[in-house]
Amino acid sequence: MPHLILEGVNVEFPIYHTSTRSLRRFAVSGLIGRNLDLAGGRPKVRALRDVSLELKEGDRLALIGPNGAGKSTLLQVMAGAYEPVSGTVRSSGRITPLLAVGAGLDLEAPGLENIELLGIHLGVHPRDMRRCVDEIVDWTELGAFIGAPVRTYSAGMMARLVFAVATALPSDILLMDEWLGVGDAVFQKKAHERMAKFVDNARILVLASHSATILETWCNRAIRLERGVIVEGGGVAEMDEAAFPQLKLL
Amino acid sequence: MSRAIADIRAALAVSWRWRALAWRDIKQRYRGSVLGPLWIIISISIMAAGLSLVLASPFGVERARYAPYVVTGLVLWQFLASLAQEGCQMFVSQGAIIRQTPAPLSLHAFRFLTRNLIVLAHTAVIVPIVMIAFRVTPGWQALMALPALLLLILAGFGGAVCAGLLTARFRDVPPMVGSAMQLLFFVTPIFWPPRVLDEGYGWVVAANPLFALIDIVRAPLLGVAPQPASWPVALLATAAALAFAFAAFSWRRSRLAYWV
Repeated sequence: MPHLILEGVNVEFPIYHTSTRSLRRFAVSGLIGRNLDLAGGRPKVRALRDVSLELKEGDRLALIGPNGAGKSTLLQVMAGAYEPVSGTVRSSGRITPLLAVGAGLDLEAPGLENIELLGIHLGVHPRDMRRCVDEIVDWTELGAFIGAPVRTYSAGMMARLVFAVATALPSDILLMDEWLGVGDAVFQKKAHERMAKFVDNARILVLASHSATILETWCNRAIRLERGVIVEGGGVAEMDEAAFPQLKLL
Repeated sequence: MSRAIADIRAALAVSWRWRALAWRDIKQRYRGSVLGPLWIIISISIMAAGLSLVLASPFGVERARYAPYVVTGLVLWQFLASLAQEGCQMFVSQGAIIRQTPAPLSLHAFRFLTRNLIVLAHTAVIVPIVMIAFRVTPGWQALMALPALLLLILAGFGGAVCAGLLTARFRDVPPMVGSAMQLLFFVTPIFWPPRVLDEGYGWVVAANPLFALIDIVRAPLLGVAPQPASWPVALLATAAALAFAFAAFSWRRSRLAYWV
């Protein structure tokens, strides 16, 4: 049974000022000015505060909140990339993170090689990926471009490739950050269809977006984050304008 | 610490991932280059030829013995130097991936090591060529180079992981390592024999773990005995490098994603 459980998760980003990032400054402050320099502690951004959340099969969670609310950080914690300062994250099942579009691409390598590369990063053996290559190439409609270095692609073409690879194999937990907004109208429509198929197979979906339409289409639950705290949560259907003002706004 | 061990075990369980990535790195490195992997061999050969031409006689060594000495030394040095210098970037260069994938972090270290071992393997081809060309016949003791090489690899790997972790936190480390390696190239007996040192300066060599590591591999290949201190120093250096690397990794592993 795939699940994703967060308990009392706190995430803090230390701020390394360009100068404190230097070893010299660190050594000097450590030797002569430890108290002076670190009296107030190193400045930190508390990106997530005491976030608890339980997701089980069938949950389609929307993350909403203004910029800087902690939506992306929460997704990164769910993906297992960021380890919280305190609190626990437990999950079972295959996680497919679709967070930053360009992550893991080798811009000098042709599209075909990047399919394999992205697969490796997702934990898919090249042997298994090879079986999906034709389908991916077809779907992306990249044509001859599939043999050209990804560097020559437009942003939309890159997005198509990355999206197609990530959704080629079934997953238990899909994490998406502001994704369905990319590409032209044709891509949007195609991506919508592929996404629908994929989400049917994915048992848990977490989607961060500012678009009310996207969230209403895909999600059945929502939480609203503000400054790293879950301020509201509930079902998307019951969400009213008062509880989710920005859904109305967008 | 248990989490660090779990991380390493998880990475070892998906060894196909870092092996595939390492081969991709090699492919990427030589993409578009006509001579590709031959370049490193060519540059070592040219450097060895030049050094033999000029330095063999002032050091009082026959050219036929100096050339294999220098070539072997340069091959091993090249390996250690790229472990140290590229090692700085082993985590930082994977920042985008580290920040979004649920992969164990030691995977990046294993990928890095594998890539460098592949480079070493094709660079080392030059060693037997030079040995045959200059009729070096080391005999059975040459086999001692194998456990010695394992030690050199492990020590270098430990050092590289330390450099990678330090760089993630302190971006001054790569230029520091760069200039340190440059200095070490000259003060380590790679292209000069230790006996050319003035009386009383023997400690420069005796205290240098890089020389110990190179010496235990090179001496048996050339059919001579390594310096008496070399094996103990090399063993100690390897143990220290691995212990430091593991301690640093288990201490700061959870923060790595925030640094890169």
